[in-house]
Amino acid sequence: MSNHTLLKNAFRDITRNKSRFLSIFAITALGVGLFAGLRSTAPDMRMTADAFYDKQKLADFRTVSTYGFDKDDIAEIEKTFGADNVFPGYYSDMFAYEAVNTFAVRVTGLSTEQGVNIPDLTEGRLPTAANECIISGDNFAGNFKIGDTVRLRPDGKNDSPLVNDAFTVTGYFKTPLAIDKGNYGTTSIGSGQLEMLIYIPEENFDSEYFFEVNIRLPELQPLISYEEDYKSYADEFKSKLETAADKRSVERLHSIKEEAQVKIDDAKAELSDGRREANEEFAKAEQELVDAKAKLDDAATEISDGEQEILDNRKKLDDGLKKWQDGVAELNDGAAKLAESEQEWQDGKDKYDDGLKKWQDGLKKWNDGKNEYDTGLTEWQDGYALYQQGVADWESGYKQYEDGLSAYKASYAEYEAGLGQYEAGLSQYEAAVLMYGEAALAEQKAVLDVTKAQLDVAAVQFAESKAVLDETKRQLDEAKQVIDENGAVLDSSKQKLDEAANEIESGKKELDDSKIELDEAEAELSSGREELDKAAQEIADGQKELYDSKREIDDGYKKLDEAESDLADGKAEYADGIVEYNKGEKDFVKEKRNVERDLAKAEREIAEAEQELADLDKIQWYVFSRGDNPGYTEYGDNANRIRNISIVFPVFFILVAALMCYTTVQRMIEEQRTGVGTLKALGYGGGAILFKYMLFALSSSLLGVLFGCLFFMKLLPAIIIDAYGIMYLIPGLVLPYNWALIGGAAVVATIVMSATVLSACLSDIRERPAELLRPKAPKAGKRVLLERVPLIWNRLSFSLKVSVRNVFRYKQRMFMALLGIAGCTALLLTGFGIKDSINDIVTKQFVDLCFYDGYVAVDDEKLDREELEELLGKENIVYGEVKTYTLSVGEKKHDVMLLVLDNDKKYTDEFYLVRNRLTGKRYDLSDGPILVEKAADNLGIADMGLNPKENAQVTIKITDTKSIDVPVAHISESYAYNWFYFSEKDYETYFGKPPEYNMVFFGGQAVATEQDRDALTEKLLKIDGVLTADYTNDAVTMFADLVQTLNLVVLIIIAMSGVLCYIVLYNLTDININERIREIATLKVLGFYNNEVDGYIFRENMFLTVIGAGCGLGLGVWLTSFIIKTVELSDTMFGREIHAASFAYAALLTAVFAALVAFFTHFKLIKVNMVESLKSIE
Amino acid sequence: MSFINLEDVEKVYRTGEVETRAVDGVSFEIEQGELAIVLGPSGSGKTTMLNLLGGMDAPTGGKIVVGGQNIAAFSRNQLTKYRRSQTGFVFQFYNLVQNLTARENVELAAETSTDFIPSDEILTRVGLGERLDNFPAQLSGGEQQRVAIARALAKKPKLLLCDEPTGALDYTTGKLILKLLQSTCRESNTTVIIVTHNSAIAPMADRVVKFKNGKVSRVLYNQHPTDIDEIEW
Repeated sequence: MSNHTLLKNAFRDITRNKSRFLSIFAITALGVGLFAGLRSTAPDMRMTADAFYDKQKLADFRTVSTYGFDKDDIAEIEKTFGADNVFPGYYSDMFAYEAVNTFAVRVTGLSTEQGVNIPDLTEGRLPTAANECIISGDNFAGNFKIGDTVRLRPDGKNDSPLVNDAFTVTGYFKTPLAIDKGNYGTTSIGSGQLEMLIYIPEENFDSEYFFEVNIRLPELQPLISYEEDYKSYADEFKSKLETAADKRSVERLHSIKEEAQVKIDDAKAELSDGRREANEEFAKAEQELVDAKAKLDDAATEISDGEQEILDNRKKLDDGLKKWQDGVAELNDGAAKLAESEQEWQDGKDKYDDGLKKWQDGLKKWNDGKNEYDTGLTEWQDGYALYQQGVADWESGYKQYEDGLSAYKASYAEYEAGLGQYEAGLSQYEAAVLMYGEAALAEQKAVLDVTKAQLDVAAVQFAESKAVLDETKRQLDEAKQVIDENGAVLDSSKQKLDEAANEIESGKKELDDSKIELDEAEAELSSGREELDKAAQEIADGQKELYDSKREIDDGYKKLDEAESDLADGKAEYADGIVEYNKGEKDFVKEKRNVERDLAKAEREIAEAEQELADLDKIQWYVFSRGDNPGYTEYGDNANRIRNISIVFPVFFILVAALMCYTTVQRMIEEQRTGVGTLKALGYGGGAILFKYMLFALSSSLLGVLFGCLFFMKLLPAIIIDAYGIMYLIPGLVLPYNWALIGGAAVVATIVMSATVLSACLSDIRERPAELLRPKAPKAGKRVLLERVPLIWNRLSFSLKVSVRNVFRYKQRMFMALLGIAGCTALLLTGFGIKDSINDIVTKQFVDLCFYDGYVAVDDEKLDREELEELLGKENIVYGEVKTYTLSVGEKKHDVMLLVLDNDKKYTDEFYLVRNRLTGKRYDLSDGPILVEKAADNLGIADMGLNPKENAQVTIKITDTKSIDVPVAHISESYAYNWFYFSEKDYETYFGKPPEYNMVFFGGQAVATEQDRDALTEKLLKIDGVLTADYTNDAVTMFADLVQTLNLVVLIIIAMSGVLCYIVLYNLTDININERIREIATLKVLGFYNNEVDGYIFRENMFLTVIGAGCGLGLGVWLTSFIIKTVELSDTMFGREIHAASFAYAALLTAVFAALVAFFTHFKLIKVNMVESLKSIE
Repeated sequence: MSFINLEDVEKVYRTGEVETRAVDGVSFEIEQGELAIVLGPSGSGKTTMLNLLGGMDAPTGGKIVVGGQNIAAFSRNQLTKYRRSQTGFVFQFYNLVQNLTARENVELAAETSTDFIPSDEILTRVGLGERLDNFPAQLSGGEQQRVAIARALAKKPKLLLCDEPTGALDYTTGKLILKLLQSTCRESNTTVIIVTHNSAIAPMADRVVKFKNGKVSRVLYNQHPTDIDEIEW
């Protein structure tokens, strides 16, 4: 009925109860939105990936063959699938190397019109020249930058399939083939893990066969990769491909067999020709040998004759030599004697010479003496003459002097008389002067003066003469002396001369005597000389004779030596000849043997080839679908995990939301009880009343559904896909609205709300109006079960009894409260639990389990072990081989890293804790191979105690064609890595070959700081054969980063749970108070203080909170474990423990929120107005 | 000095521009040990006045002196203490705690006081010795009201305030209740104030205060109050 006023009433209800309307709206939006958002995340993830796959034209299938693909193979495939959909191509797994590092990479040919698996260029450009390439833009590409050169080499024994081997990087790419960051797939080379993908222009592959064929089907494009219909269609096509494979393999086999057979026949013909030739050659050679032997024998005879001759001649010469030697001795004696005599004669001569010399000297002296005497005598005579002359001169001189002297004396007497006169005159003058004066007597004076002057002159003259006379006298005296002296000298000289004359006489006599003696001696000497000369001549002749005979003998020996030498040469030649012959013989034998052997080998090979050909079974094509791409399945699994979470997680929220809505509506209806009664009294039917409330409830909830879905369906998938973006390389986001889901949610919301309204209204509607108009009878009190136990009941205080009764009185409310609180505590615990679990990966893995400092990857053939052991310390290292393998048990698969150790005891003692996670028991590799928990779990071979099930075995895929089964002895704890441990012995047993160590684990180094680690790395990389170095510390950092991102999610969960907790508690308390407002007012009237009133209400709350929290903790443990197991990554095990602290935190937070609620409620209680609350209905 | 003295007590409600004078300048006195009846039609303000006397509400003007203290000036805490120790209140609709037995309901009140009458004793005294362990839902209206009275009396209040105590009871039960109130008043010297619109019971009181439109219209005195047994209506 379209009743205008009723409608108005209905709408006014909405406007007047805005907060109630909004709270229903909000809670519905949150609950449904969360559910819808999470629910649509999984499909969105799949669609996002699929969009990427479609855009980059990801192949649906890839096939490789043990023999490659020839034209006919390709034709067959094209026939089955359509030529446009088939893309043959080239690839090769090789090693890329730069200065320091070597990587296993997959090199794929890129055609200029790439129709499938198109790389998505993220930086740079595509290659334009044959020696350019693009590389996967992640992880190790950090080592190669655009512009760097990548050098490639094939795995060990094979030839390179490429024309070039060095390529310049022109850009980075992402590819739909490997969406998992850092995981490019497995390979059979190196460590088993591909570390980079490279595309190079196709023309670099120099091969007549294609190595791979990619197939992309238009029928499959509209389907979404991960979904069932894609899978089933894909399986259909896959089986078609397999049919083609079977057909082709037979045909190809046939053609290969034909080719091979032709080759075998040729080989056989060659073989028989070869054999014939060989036999001919052998005969020739044998003949040569025989001839040579004969020649050698002749030579031997000649040589022995020659030897004999030489011996005889030698004897002869020896005799001759002896004779000569005797002769020489004789001659020598003679010579010696002669020498003596010579010596005597010489002495005599010397004596004579001396004597002669002496005589000659004497004579000379005598002559000199005589001359001297003669000279002296002459000189004396001259001297004597002079002397006499001198005397005569003197005497005359003396006479002169005497004359002079007499003259002088006479003059002087005159002078003196004159002077006397003067002086008498002078005295007269002077007397006269006195009388007369000077003037008068001037003339007299003048005369006197003149006289004086004359006298003075005379004086002077006299003086002078005297002097002269004196001088003369002196001179005469002197001369006299001299003459006297000379006279004496002359006398003595005369005497001497006389003596000398005597001596001369005697001397002459002596000389004459001596001369006579000398002459006699001389005569003797001459005769002696003659004799000696004769003897000398004889000796000389004898010498000459000997000399000549010696020469003859020498010639004889020389000739003999020559002959010997010739003989020796001859012998040597003969010996050489023998050697050559022997060698020739040996070579012949050897050659013959070799040739025989080669021929036999060739025969064998031909036989083998024939056998192989006969055995050649089928050529194997391996067909891979998208599921085999690395990361593909995992991504789908992750989407599934989200889907799982989306089922469990939001249910909590939705339940709580439904509960809240129910109570809100119920309360509203309760409040309007009298209104309802009035309407009924007025004659409105139940339908009208229902309509009012339905409108309210449905409009608010459906609006909430709509908003929640629209908002969260875009937001949540975006956040989650973004978070996964850390691990995956899928660009772009596809977030369509899932209208079906929204519609479904709307329907569910409608049903729930309708049910709510109905159940709340129904009881009221059925009541009679009068009843409705009266206040509702309060619910009767009842005894609780506990009262029947007087032991406890009587011990409780009054207020406790009240609280217990109150709690059980309103059962519905009690259950709701418990559920709400338990749910929130569970969510809080889950939040903390997940955080613990994630953080534990790092702590448990790298602190509890892993003790080694790091490891180096090595090339065992090139490794300089001594240097490495010196650098790190021999006792600090363990060698290991690490290779990635896929394990399978039935259909279940899991990748592991198989680790073989050379010193497994040391490893388990010092480097890595291999133990059972539950019991902590440590294991030894001597019991057999040990597998980690995560892998064992996934493969289904672990039992509850984390021990392997009985006879647990895993299959290891070694190559595409070979697998082995291996038992598992124990299961060990590990978080970050999937290990499969083998001792050396076990490895050899199962793999049939010794391990090739490519890893060295080391401990006991100082690597705490980054500088230490860099320094050590530098030293390590200098050692030959060391490829890379990794440290536990660095791994810790990497994992810690990964863990950080997940912590964010956890934080959100905790926050939301906390808010929910608060809302639930607040709501419940609110309802509680509202229902019991009269009770509360009564208490106030009775004079209860505010805190007593608080206590009355809160005791119940506390009770419920404690029990609810307890249950919540238990629930949380289950929820955590469920979520962890679904969220875990496939190669990491999250921690399985919730820390004790987390329980405390969850409980604490719940308590905190409860306290908060109590705090706000307290104010509400104070505001309760006694008067209003207790108003009687009048 | 009277035990209770109201001086110009006012209670005015303001909602927007509308002013409601529930109690409009009321003054009267009541002596200790008196049984007073406040008579008046609905809306006359008598319940409001009772609430003010009981310390459940605060007047907007005037003085209410009880036992020498002006409770109009009391703080909330003081009012709580006043209610706790000085007064007992009996409601028309009993307002018992449904979750507690009769005994426990009385104990609830007794807990707030240091000097109280044991619940069993007081309940026996009101004639409910056999019904100590029954919940209110298991008691008749009269029994429930008697429990309420017992609850009020357990605290040995000086002042017993009853708001239409017999309003939800039939004639016989009502009389019973009134008798109980009367005897309590006489025996324990408790001042009892009964608010009612039933003028027929006025003779049982010592003093009758008539209310009209928020004011006291008349105060009557009964020299010789009648036993309730003798009053018929």
